[in-house]
Amino acid sequence: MMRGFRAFHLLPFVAAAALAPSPAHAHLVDIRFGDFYGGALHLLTGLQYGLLLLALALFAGLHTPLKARWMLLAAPLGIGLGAAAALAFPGPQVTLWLTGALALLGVGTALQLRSSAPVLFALGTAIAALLGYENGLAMTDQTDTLLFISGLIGAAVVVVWLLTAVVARLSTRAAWVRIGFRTIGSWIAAVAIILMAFSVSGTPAVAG
Amino acid sequence: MSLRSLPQIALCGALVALMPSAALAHAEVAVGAGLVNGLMHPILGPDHLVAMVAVGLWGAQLRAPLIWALPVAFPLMMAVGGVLGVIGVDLPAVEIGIAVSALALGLLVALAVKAPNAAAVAVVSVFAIFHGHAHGTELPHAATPIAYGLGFVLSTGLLHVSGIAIGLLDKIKPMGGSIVRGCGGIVALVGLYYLLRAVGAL
Repeated sequence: MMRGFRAFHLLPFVAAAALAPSPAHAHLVDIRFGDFYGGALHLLTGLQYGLLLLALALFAGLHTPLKARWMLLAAPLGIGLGAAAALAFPGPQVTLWLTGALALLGVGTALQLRSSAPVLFALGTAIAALLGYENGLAMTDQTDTLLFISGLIGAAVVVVWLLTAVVARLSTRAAWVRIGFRTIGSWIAAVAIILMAFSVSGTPAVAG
Repeated sequence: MSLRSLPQIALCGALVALMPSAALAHAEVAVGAGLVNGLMHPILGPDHLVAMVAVGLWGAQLRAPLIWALPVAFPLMMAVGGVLGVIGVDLPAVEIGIAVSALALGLLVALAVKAPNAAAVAVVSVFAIFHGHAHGTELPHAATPIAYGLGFVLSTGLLHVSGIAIGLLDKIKPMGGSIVRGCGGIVALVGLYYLLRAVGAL
């Protein structure tokens, strides 16, 4: 079977094997600042959490830039307060409340509801606090809470600040861009409303 | 490379195939699968697909504000239908309703019907409930309902955008309007076919 075997026949495969990519871990997440990354990733890898951050940014960004700036403070403040509350008063998850908040922000964006700066700030802080609480519940006794909460806040800051700035900037450029953002809001609302019904009805999810 | 090399190639291929890669115990595979299932659900049903495109076509024909009001209203009303589907409320003749939506929207585009704003939104909203119900009944069977829900809403929205993009040809003289109306005719024919199938005539 191996007659005629030539070592150089293997070369392309050896080269391919050597070049096969493997995950590159530039930052070892299990040491030192691991819980910081843990917090950041916990927020960023949950689909519902990501949607909520997007919804916060869309809702705020469609206000005037002066009002939208309040969300830049509300989001990290709320996340921090919520995560701290999860530490002090751990309780059940607030997923249904998060879905309700998602629906509220989605409808608000789709209908382009305007609110005053204090209301926008209060709403943003409250919703971000729910998000922080839900994520904060993931902390265990072994978790470095300061790093984890810093990670949560850091991720929220990056996402909400960037998205709010983009939405606020682009929506002043052309009417159709603003309409596009409102359309995305209606999509978010639709997903959230259906999910709320799903959660409330208690229909068990079936794999497959 | 001769046939004599085949054993060596097979051996090397097997070795390469056996190379370990990262084992992810908590991979978000289900999220991806749910998203893809949701994305494909409106696309794999031709009656769904053409009706969604027709919403965009009609919106583009009717111009502002309906060009954006219809695609905004549709997902919101679709959510109502989705809720009914999720909680198990039976809607009579869902398949017929979806086929009728394609037929009616196709005809509205083909005949370039200029409806008042409220009437256009009402028509599209009623049809959206049937489409939402069909998607909603599938949601409890999804491994990750949020990903499935996001997928079908995203897919529906992008089909509207596609319809709007095609519908913008309406502004191009002299053939643009005819092309858009022709697309409406095709949508109506697809709707008619599915209607006849739904009532058992085919």
